[in-house]
Amino acid sequence: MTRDDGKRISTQVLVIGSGAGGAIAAATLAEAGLSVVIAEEGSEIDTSAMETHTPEAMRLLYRNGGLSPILGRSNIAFVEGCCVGGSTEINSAFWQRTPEVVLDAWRRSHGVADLSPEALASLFDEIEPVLHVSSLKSAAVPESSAVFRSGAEKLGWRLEEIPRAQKVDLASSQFSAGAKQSASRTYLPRARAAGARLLSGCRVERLHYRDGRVSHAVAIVSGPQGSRELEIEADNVFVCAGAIQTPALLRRSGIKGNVGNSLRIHPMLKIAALFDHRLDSHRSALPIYQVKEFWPELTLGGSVFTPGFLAVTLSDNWAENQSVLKDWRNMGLYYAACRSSRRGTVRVFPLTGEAVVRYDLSEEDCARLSRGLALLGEALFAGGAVALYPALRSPPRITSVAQCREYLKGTLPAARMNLSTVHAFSSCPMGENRRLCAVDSYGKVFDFANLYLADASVLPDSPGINPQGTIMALALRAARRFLAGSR
Amino acid sequence: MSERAGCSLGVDVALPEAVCVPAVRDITYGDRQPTENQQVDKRVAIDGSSVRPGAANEGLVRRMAMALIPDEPVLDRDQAVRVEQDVLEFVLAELQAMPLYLWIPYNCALVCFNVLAVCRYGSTFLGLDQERQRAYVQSWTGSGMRLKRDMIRLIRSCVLLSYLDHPLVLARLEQEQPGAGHDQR
Repeated sequence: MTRDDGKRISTQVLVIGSGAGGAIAAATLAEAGLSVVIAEEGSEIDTSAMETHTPEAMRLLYRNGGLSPILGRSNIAFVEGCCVGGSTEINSAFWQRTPEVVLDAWRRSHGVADLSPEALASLFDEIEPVLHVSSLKSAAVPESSAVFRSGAEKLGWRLEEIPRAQKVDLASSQFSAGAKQSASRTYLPRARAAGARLLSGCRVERLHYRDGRVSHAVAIVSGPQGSRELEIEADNVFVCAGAIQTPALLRRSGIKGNVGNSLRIHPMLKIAALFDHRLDSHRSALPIYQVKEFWPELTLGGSVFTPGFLAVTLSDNWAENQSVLKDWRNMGLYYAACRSSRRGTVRVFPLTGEAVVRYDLSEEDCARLSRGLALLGEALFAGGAVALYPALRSPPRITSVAQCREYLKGTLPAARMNLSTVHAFSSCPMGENRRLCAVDSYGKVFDFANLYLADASVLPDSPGINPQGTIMALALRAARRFLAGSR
Repeated sequence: MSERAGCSLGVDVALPEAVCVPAVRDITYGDRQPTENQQVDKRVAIDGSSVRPGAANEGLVRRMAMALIPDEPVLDRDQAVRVEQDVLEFVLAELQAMPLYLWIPYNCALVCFNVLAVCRYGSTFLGLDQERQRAYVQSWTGSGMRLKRDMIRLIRSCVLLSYLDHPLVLARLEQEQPGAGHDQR
């Protein structure tokens, strides 16, 4: 039973964070009969009727209003959710199973035990129906995706349609508006139905422990009447705050062994492409294809489009490029994303406890992104593009395949690229290799009896794919293991 | 159970780690975790927003944002006033939401931006007419110094996003046909 006297709560399990990992862990534990409290820093906002890429949504749903840079040789824009449901409320809900080759690499590099493709497949089989993971019928493919597919097919490149955790409207064959199956519409309601208590606006500042056992967490609860401190006593704690906030919380609490030292990201370079006919990208579903020909180092795909996002992509050469905005209906946004080759860090700003993230692009990263720019440009020209506008500080415009291929010969300097990322992981890697890992193969923090991690931070390395599926499968695996051990 | 460190500023301040957590320094690969953090108990982070003066550089940011609002599409006067107000509110809210470790240097950079206009025009940025304000912003946008460019880029990105994705601007954009020619080709 959860006890609450206003200043102190006691519970069997405290889950910190309500995103992809936290929601499924909380639901699994609550449905097993445990008393669960979910502490979520962000507010509870109904996103069912909300476009989640608008300026309004940035203020309501994103951490720091979307201004959370990763510092380094070239600052990288990074966004993460800060609301009930976490980043599942703001992402594109792309769903991919962890490739076997990735699992194999994780087993070898970090000594992750019991991570067979078969075991993980059964978890995916279980989760996917809950999230209504769906693909579009070809007739409903948006034009911005169709031109991209056409270009890749002409070049003979391997292309995949990426399913999404979103219901498909059977009448129109389109993804239903507002029907994204985020955590707030799937696992969080299940957790609550099973008795879990969700505290929104509740930021856990630190964990307190003695002799390898966490005794309680101290949180600040914010509401209309102001802020108050809350102590949450828990028999067990699952930290599921994501690849940035989880290591920040652990480090604020003095837990630093292999914590926040090995952050991986997928740096992404965007290109705006102009076609000679209307795409009306702003009206259509998100682009759904990814070129996998150059995977795992490089993935090419389509990006969210609004006139605002287009303008931001053009803005590095605004004086030269602003006139192209008049053709915005003929344009689409695309990206080249690479696996990072270096490890970044997550540290804590002493005055405020805020996470400070650093990642310095390596020469290898820059070379991969240069290649990505060249290949993406080639595909877009093959698909009918007439001009490309990369998010680079010159050149403002690329008008030929030959110009694209120049980027295969050299390496773009980091300072010229305007990069962003929505994928971060591996800041507290899991495995049995204690030289590299912060937690064991099931997310239990080394040297702690009752502290677990279940989010993107435990991925041993960059998966090279959209990570939500992997995060959820591993979180479910961790919760099941915990339940098996506690009985 | 937890004891917060009081402070004369009226907020709880996290002391530098070297002062308050000598027992839990960074642990190298393979080292054990600390077994107790009672000494760290006194360290509770403050909410960064509580120490930010709300109106810091507000007038300056407003003028910069106005100088960065695109000329197109052209809106009716009433609509333009409303959109500009919404854009300004968004930009200010975004800057206010920034993490404190960025907010402090960014606001210092804004002060420099304002004052350094004296070297070029004999007046601070705030004292310039609109045309010169635009020219000055443009000179920072195209500067060879990354810090200068980055400072403008942040506000410009907020302005472009909030302006072009504003429902009134979107509606106007939807009404307009794309240009017949593509002189960028």
